[in-house]
Amino acid sequence: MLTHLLVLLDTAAPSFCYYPSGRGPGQTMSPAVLATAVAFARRRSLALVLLYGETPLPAACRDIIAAAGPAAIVPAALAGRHPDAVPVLVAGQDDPGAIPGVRPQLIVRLPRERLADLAAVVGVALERTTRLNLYPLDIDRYTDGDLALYRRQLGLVAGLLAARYRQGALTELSILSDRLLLSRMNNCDAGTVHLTVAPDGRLHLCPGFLHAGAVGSLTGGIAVANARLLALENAPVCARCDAWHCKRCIYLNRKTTLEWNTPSRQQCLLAHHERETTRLLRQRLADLPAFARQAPIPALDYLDPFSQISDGGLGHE
Amino acid sequence: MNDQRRKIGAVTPAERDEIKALYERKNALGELFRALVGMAAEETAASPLYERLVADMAATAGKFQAWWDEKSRTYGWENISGHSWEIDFATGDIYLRRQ
Amino acid sequence: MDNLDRLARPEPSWEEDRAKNITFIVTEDCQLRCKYCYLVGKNPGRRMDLAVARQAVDYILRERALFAEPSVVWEFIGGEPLLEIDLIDRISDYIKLRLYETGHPWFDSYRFSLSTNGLMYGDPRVQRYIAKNRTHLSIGITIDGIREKHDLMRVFPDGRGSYDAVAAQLPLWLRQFPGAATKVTIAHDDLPYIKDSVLHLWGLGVQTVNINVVFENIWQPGDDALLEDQLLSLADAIVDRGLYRQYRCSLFDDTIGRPLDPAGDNQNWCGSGKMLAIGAQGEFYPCVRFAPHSMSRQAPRSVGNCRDGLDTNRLRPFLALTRLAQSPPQCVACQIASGCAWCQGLNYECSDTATIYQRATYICPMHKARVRANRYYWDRLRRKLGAGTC
Repeated sequence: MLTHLLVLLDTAAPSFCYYPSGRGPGQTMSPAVLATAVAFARRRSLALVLLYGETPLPAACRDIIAAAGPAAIVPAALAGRHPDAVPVLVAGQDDPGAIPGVRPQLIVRLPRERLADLAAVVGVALERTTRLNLYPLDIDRYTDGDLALYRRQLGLVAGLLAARYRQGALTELSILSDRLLLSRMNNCDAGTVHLTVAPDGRLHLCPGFLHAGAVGSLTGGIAVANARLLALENAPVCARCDAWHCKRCIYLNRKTTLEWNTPSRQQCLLAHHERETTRLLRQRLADLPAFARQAPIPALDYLDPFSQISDGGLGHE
Repeated sequence: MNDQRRKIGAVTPAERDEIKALYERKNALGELFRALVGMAAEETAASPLYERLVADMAATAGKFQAWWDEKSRTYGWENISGHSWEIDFATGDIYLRRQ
Repeated sequence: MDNLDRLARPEPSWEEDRAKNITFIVTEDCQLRCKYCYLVGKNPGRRMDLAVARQAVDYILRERALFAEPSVVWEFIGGEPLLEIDLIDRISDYIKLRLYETGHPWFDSYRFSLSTNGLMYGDPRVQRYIAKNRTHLSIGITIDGIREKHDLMRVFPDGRGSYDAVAAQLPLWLRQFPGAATKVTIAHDDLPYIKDSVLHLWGLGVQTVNINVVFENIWQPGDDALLEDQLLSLADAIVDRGLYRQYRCSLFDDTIGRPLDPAGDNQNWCGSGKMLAIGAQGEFYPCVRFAPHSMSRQAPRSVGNCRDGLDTNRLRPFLALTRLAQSPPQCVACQIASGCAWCQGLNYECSDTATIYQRATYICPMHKARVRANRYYWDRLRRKLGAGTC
């Protein structure tokens, strides 16, 4: 069921997950389109999430926003001006230390070339938030070496988390602690739970699909062709997987496999390295009452769930 | 049974697989040989392929014949002049066929 | 009833389920312009270069983990493949040579296969190729049935029918490949000729006639009844004349028309992705139906190329395909679903979002008609064989 409308105020707004950021100068949303978007969301009881770029908005837009009071995701540079918003940082470009205070939520995007810094980046970012959403980027270009490095870095991060948990901290890290708390798939669900409206008023599955055709408009309504392919039961690989924290990113799916419902090998392996690290983390912390209450995560003899459904064989896992 | 052939025995699946593999290899070697004869010299000159191939053909033909000799002795298959044995790879049945 | 069991199931193909099928698209040209052909972009310009073919062979033989099947069928397709018989000959020689040189297990378990319109079958170069590869080769000639049907559909660019030219090649073909089958295609206009065509082909000595009704959106109201009528009268002829003893027509298959179990019968129908097609420029495709000359609505869908290798991520959706994930609710609930086919390439071509996961169902009424006719046929045959007259 649709619950959220993401409002792309600026086509050059920084990405908040796997898709690439738009290049500036972007097109910004007009007050008229923004007002229509707010009304569209209100009629459908959708919560608004604004995606800010760095281009200043007209005063009329700011008035509409103030009246609607939506959630927002902002570039790191605007974090100071939006104390209630979720800041997005790119590791190696933005300094988490410059984010004022401790945020309830922080998003860090990790370029492939900074992979070796993963644990260090997480360590610094966790000083600034109680929940960190981390997105490794360019994973479609990950080699087997990168995947091995990711696994090693996850092990270091698990050590950091374990130390924090033993001190009683309530820290969440999307790629590790989410799987502990879930009992079924909890994916991004773009196109199903949320849609994105662009500055021109057209609707998209998510900001990553901005240039890949619309799925309706604010005035014409929602028209998602083949919406069934967004559902878990029509995703043969994911339907049998228990890496429940995986974002199951349909933007990445489409980019790498040309289908919404089929993940790449890299996406599956990353999710399963995370799952396995989480499994070991839970074992390590089983003496803590909070963790003993969590259901154990079963060990698996595979990393890529694709290997469990296909007899076609692609020669590797 | 038809006028041309009649069933005279059968072999086990493992025995069937043995002769099937030899049959495939014998044919493949023969058709590679025919290909090499027609190939430009520069395409094959780099490797001592002819010698290897000829030796392989002789060895495979020998194994092929040895299989029939040994199985016919073991199972006591009928042998008539002007006829030959053949196998149905799907079933492992052995037939005597008039040539 | 052993005989009936044998009749009721399609003949297995060579090393079925064990062989990798690798197709070289040697040319996109053809002498004919068959009206039902899905190759909409025929052209004389794109033909495969020997160097490209060699690069593809070298890649495939090197990547044994990706091509791990115990057997292989190397197929040559077009357009009309025999237009490039010299190239096919050189590719075949190269394959044999490299298989042997590298000690590849496929040397002991390979076949060459091609399907032709038959026009060049008697060409001395083709005959030399057949003689050279006799024990590893299968060739199918497409003849569509009686002259009226064949010449209605299988025409030269100037509109002339090709029946006489093809029929002249059949005696030689059937001497060289006595068990060979032909492939008949049925579209709207030639529905009235099915029965006569099957009987005609059997009369010519083609013992197995494989027939497909096209998957495309061309069927009109009443076509299903026409198909059923044709199959009923064909069924009568087969049973009355005892033709089932010697001949086979793929439209009659006792395994079709049953409900399918959602869990146990969830596999994909089509083999695209498990096979590999190689385009003239060395692009890899899940089957020829995804190559540029097959596409009119969507972009060609490549899964790599012979220079960079297979893009295994792009193959995953094909290998993960299930019946349920691509079928609309009415197909999932269908009580006569078994044997209802689809073509992944057409599904992709007709899809709303450039997906292979949206099943085109234009064939539905024709499948239902075929199921009704099969029930009639097998009931008649059972009663006849049950009476001990086989």
